Amino acid sequence: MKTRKLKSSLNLYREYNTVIRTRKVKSKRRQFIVLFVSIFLVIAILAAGIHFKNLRLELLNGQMSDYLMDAENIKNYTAVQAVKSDIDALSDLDGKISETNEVLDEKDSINGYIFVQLYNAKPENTVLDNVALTNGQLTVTYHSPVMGDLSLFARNLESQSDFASVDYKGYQTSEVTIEDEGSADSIDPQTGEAAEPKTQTIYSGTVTILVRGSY
Amino acid sequence: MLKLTTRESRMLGVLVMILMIGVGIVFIIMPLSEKNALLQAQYDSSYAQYTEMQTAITLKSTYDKNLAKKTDEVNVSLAEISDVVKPEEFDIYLNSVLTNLGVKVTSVSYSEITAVTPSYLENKPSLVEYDLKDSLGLIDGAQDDEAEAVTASNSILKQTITVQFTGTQTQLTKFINELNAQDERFYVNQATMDYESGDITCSFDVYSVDKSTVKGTNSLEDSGGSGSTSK
Repeated sequence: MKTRKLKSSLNLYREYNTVIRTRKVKSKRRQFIVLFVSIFLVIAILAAGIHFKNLRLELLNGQMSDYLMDAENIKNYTAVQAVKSDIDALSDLDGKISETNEVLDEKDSINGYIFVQLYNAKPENTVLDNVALTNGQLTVTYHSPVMGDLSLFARNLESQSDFASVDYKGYQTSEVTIEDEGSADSIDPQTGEAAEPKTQTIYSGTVTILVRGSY
Repeated sequence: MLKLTTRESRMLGVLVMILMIGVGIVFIIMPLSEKNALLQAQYDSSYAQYTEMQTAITLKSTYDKNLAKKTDEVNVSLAEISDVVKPEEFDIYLNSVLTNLGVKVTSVSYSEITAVTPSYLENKPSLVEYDLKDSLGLIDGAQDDEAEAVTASNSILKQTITVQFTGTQTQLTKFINELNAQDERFYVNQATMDYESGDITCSFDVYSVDKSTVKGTNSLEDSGGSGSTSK
């Protein structure tokens, strides 16, 4: 009797509905709540992280701003900038001057000893008439009563150390009267008149010399 | 009350979660991130300025030393170029030189000062070109190096001084050597002599800069660069 009563009251489906399903629902609700809370926490932690990072940046920005706005620092910095600007300008100026000096250092001035060398190269009977030296080009006009002296002078010049090249283009001749006043030979002894004046052949030439150097 | 089915309540839950995430991102995370980006940019900019300023201030004494050093260097370079010739002062020097040489001066003239870019050309004999020349050059290894004019990039001042006097070749040589010894920026470029009459004409160029116009001349002068001549 008792067993039958118990059997009739034992309804597993109803039990399932009342106990198990309720438990499942509660469990799912809890899961949802945990999930909501988790999402909330994740967002909150993320937000808090960014917020603290922002606070730190604001603090650093503030410190740097204080440093950058400090009157003494601005004064020193401006002074340093002016010095740097001066250094740059001076470097630029120095570069320009140095470059100009390099050209001027390489440029040569005429050496006075060129004339000494010219004189040393001159054969004994040769006479220099005119010398013109322009930017390292020397033109010498000269003459001699000896024909061979003109080319000899040119050859002598070639051996001088300061001359890069010697350009000799030949010579011209001219007759020159030799005046010999008061001499017995100047009067013809037969006629008693003045004798024919003696003449001499003079060889004159021009030589162009290129002087070594940069002009 | 309307009772929701399990699926409906699940969907509602998912919707609420999406809403939570969306609201969280849009209204909390994004504004904070934007502010963060702004602050970070401000920080980067400020940090660059801060570093630059701090470095500059720390190195102030070094920059001062560099300025003094550079000023000295400029002084040394500048001293290599002559001062502008003042004829009335240069005449004193020139007259003393010519008097000491014992020559009879005919004239002394100073040209106008002009701006020129200094240049030079190495004197080399000009060679005639012909067909076999290149081949011969290959055999004996000779190189065909033609002289090229070198010109400075910047112009400076040039004045030509011409002196005419009557004298001997020795006196001319001495005069030229005296000029060359006096200042390395005197360039004797022309000399003619008539041996019969003894007439001599000698011209020389003086390359100079007007140092009174140099910016910061006082500081340059104060630093005491060594120089050649200033007459």
